[in-house]
Amino acid sequence: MNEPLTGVGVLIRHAVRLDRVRLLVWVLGITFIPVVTYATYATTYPTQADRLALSATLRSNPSFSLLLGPASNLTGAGGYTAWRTVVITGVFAAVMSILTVVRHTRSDEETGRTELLAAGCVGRYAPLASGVATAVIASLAVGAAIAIGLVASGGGTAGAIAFAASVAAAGIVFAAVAAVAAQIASFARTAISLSVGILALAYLIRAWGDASAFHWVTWVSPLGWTEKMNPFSANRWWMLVLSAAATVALTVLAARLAARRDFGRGLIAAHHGPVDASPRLSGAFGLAWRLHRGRLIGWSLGLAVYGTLIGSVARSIASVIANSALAKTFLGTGHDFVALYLAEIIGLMGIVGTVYGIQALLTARTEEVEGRVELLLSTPLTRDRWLASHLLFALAGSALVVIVGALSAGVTANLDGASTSIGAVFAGALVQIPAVWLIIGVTAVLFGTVPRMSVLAWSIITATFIISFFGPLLKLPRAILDLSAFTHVPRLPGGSVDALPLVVLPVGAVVLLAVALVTFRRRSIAS
Amino acid sequence: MPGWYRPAPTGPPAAASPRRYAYRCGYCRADPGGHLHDTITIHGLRKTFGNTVALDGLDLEVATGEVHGFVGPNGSGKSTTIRILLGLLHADAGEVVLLGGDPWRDTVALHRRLAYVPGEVSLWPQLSGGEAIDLLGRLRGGFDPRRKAELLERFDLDPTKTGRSYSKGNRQKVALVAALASEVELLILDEPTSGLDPLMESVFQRCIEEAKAAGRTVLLSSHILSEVEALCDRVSILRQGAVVQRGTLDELRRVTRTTVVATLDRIPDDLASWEGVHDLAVHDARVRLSIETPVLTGFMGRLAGCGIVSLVTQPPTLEELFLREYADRPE
Repeated sequence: MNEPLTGVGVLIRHAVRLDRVRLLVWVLGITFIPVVTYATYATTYPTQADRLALSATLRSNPSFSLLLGPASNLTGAGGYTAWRTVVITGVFAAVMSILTVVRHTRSDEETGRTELLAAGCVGRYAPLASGVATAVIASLAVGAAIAIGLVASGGGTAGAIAFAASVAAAGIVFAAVAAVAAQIASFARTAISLSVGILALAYLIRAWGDASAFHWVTWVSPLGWTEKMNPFSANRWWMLVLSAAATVALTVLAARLAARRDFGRGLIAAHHGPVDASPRLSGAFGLAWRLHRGRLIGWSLGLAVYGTLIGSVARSIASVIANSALAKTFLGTGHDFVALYLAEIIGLMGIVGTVYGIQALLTARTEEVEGRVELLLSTPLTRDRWLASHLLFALAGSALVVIVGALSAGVTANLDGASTSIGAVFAGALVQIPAVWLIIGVTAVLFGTVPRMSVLAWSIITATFIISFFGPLLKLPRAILDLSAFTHVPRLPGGSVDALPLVVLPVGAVVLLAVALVTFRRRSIAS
Repeated sequence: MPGWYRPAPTGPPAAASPRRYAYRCGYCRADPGGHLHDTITIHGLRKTFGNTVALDGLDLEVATGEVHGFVGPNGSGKSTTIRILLGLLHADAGEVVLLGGDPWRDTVALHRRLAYVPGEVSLWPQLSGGEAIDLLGRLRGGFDPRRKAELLERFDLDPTKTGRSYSKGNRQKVALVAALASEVELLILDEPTSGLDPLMESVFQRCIEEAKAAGRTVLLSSHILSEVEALCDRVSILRQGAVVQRGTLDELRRVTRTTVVATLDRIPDDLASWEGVHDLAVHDARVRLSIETPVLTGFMGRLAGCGIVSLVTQPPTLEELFLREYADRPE
């Protein structure tokens, strides 16, 4: 077998076929962000005065430079969309690429599928090349969809293509980053962590460059290149050369590393654990702590950072909203717009906390499907206790995540000079928790009765998110709005408190959890 | 057609087996507490998954202190039976008594007294093998750390690797060490050696012999038949969700055929029609045939009259028993 790429065509077709639904969801989801932003610009900021006010407020706040990059031209839909969404869209494209590459390289090698292929008529570099190629194809599909969407929304062709190209470039560069990471790490999880870590570093470097006096630093980061393309304004096409050069260099590096390492191994050896377990790793709850702690700490830190960033721009955004024609028409004047804004953000954190809770509870399902529960339940461990150990992290963990996120936003908003009380922000977080627990309760009932349907929890939280955040905009009927548990949550700080939901939601959650425990006791354990 | 050697599926087990009824019944409604049970007694067990019949009136008796082989091809219902014994699945019909209790109702109390090794061991990716062994041991109520160290050494297992970096055989070793280290009355092992090399296989066999010497009962599901032959006092052979053969190996041999290869002075013309003779092949003066073991004595007497020059007889191996059981009755 002298041809190192033999069979790559077959592998690419196989990978694309395997991933067609997954990648379609990614492409549509990523495209949605810039296209909707572009399409709604005209209705959100209808007059030139609105746009000038927006531009003046946002330019003056360094937090926005940190978050999104420097604002250049916010008086047009294109410039605004580029500033608001190009970096974040690029980040999503990069995540898609990373997951796709690792899935088709290191994951397959870890599970032994590649070994089956390697023994067949497949060249040495073919699996790596096909993984990268699949991610490149997906990135180009994202670019094409964005370009079409922006042009269809009325964007200029050159600007739309520049925007699409800068997003696709981010996806392609990080496909190459993931290809290198997949050679270095021995396991898919490690490869993903490593790649996402580099992505986070790229974001931080870009942010620091934009917000500090050292603007040149931004040019070091691939996400900086995405930003500096400056679609709809400068349209710096030559940024693509930087992306292409980095991609080629990283891909060659990945191939070199692939040639030097042994099959099934990475450059960093698998790490070793202790011979004996610490006394804390004892019983269902000790195990649950080990299984959940990484995710819980990660989510708490993530929401703390997000809350801090959001809190630091709360006053600026509130003043943009207060001065917009839309707010004057619909809300009138004299509101505490900072409180309104924080209430909205805390509502979003309620939903994000629910996502954590569902993920934590579905760990129980993973444990079952992979057969570890069978081993655990062959010991004198009761089913109640085992399920309770995962429920504890889903329930208490989601509450913690929501509170941490809300308080971070509240505290930084106050440091920035807002006058909303921390107590009110804390109350705003607390009232989210019954709604969060209700949805976790529904997830638990699914797990207890029809475990195969547990993943439906994701559809429920997605529907809840759409109803809560787009329902009022889409003018959905009351009956549909009421389906979301979060519709019934009082909006604090600033809003009024209706006691009824604060009784009904917790009671509903408790009943659902009890049903889940009882039904789980009686059902078969999957093999 | 000599079908008599096959006991009816619901009939009593062969009589010669040693039997120690040990567990006072806390379960049978008709006569609570008034009689004694084997370690495992299963009667008429049925379980269906949708349209698939997994267990079709299975009977199984495992006497206290014995190593019982549970033999059958993939999909014959071994794992389903074991998962019902562990209270992971609910039986549709039938009676199951485990250590004198009901595996579905008395789950926790019974699990204090047994240890289980699944056929497909899955470990926690982020826990080391040593941690997994300790966790399982602590859940079973603790164990002697010296016993763990000794077993780790005998099985040549590195306990510092994480769950995701073990091979299949090493994951099985982790579960085996955890099970063998705990002080329990019953070991339920579901194809525990399918990933082990021959060296480890012999370590495993010594460990089971020690467990038996210590008075433990072992239910060993396996299709490594040499292992079952070496270890098991009695064997139950499964086919399509029911036990079709059971007894000691000697009893099973008695109901099947012995292979005979002989060189004779004179080959009788009617040899093929002698009682119990099958699969006759003649090459010059040499004959090769299989003979039903119960008529072996009479057959040898008649054969001696033909002038035996050389004679080789071979008792059936479990493998032959097994293959015959399946080859005779195509699915």
